Amino acid sequence: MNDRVGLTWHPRLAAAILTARDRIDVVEVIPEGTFLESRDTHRALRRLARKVPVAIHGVSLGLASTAAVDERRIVQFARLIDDVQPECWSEHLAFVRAGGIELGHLAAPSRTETTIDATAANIHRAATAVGAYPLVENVATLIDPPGSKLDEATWLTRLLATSRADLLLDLHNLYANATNFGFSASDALRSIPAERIRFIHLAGGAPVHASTGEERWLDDHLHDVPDPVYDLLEIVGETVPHAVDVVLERDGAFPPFNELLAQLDRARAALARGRKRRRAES
Amino acid sequence: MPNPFDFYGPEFLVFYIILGVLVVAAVAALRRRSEHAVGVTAPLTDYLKIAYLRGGPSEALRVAAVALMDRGLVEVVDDNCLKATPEKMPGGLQPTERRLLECCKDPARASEIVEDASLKVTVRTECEGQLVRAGLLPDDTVKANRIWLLFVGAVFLGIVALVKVLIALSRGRTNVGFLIISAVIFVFVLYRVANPLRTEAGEAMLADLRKLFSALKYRPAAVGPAGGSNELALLAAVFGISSLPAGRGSVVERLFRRPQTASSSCGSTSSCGSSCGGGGCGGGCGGCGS
Repeated sequence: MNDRVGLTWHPRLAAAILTARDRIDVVEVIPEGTFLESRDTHRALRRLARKVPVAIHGVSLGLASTAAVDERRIVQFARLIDDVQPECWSEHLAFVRAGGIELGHLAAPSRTETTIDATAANIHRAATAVGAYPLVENVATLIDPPGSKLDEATWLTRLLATSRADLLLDLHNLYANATNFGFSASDALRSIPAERIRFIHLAGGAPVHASTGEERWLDDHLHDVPDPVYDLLEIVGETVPHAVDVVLERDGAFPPFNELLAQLDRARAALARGRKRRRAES
Repeated sequence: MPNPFDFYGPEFLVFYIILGVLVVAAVAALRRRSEHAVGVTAPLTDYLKIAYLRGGPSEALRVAAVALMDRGLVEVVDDNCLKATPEKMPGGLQPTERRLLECCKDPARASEIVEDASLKVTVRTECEGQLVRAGLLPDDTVKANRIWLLFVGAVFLGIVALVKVLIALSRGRTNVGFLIISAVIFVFVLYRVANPLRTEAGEAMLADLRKLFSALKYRPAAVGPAGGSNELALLAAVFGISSLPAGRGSVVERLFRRPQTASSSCGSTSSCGSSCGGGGCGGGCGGCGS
């Protein structure tokens, strides 16, 4: 099975990524600021996309909202996708604005039937403008979204049943939520329809403390991938019946590049172990 | 509509400058239109070809020397000379890198290595053909088109100036100096506009690389030999050696600076010409202690 492993594109890692192409199969670009707006930057990304498989990962559409997605942002995004011609595009299952105020944060929606329908409608709107359905990503949260009536896995499963969009499963987000709210990440992973999982994110995080003394796990993309996340990736290898792309997200506090490559190797190994188990079982 | 050839001197000069600017703009636009080419296979990670595209053979040699230094294959001796470190030539080198290493078997002055004629031939052979085929440097067709545009623009501006000069002289006026100077300046500008080093696709390629690597020059702590990823060479290729991290940048700039006095040497008795293997260095590496 032709699983691919790669990194999030960051200009600071650009040269290292391109010179380590033999160990990086795919890169994911987050189009923010000039990356989203400038046609010159689109052209540069298009050149990159001709050299290496590129996935575009949105952070600003706010699909998981009961309000309709901002038309201007969808058009901007559609133009970017049209210019760059990536292999796929994705967006978070979060809301990023409310009452006209930008939150500056990927906020997890209440997990209800209402938000499932509204999110599916937003996904369809975006897909119509862009010309392709996005992969939708589960988000991490430090607080259980108020008003939620469904658990995360159920909400995701029902959303996938309602929409044609497939899942970008962020294993670190799943791990963070499981840590924060006391459920089993592996059980949740096994309950999500594996045939709808197309893309995987790995990342790192750190514990944060509330004033009450409570500890939460923060998905900050500034630390190495924790061991349990590799265990989850092994389960992905075991359960997902088709090839997946796995991307390590790192946004800052960059270690020497060889350490990032070592984490990619570890991800490959975890996935391969899962694949082996799958072959043994079938 | 008044006949511009009846304008008085200063009025005609203003008219001529406006006309010249329009002609230059038209030539630039026509050249861009005729050269607009995207979709070529670009050497996105080949530092040598990127450096050649940006600055020609000397710049490519300069960056190649930096790349070899970064890999520990050559070392700086006496501030401005390079000396190869390995006893045995390592495998996997590009032809230019191999020749450069041969030239540095004995200490060789860096500023002269990058101007060496035979090394320039080597790097040109390695880079130019591919860059031309990729449409990043002008091929014969593009060059012919450029010459044609330059010819048409220059002849047009020249004829206008000549007619006015003849009219002025026939009317007994001799204040045509500024007009002649303007004509010469416009022809020079036309030459530069019609005949840049790179094609439009080449310019776009460099601009794209600068965008993609935009944060690399702000990452001095992370680039270096420990990474072994050729990052430093790419940084130098895309942005020039002046963009190298503090410390390394000043060492490299000092290294390639031309000597102030003819007596400065590389502290070795052997000349570069004797250490370049079969091909020799073309006699351009003198001054290394000879």
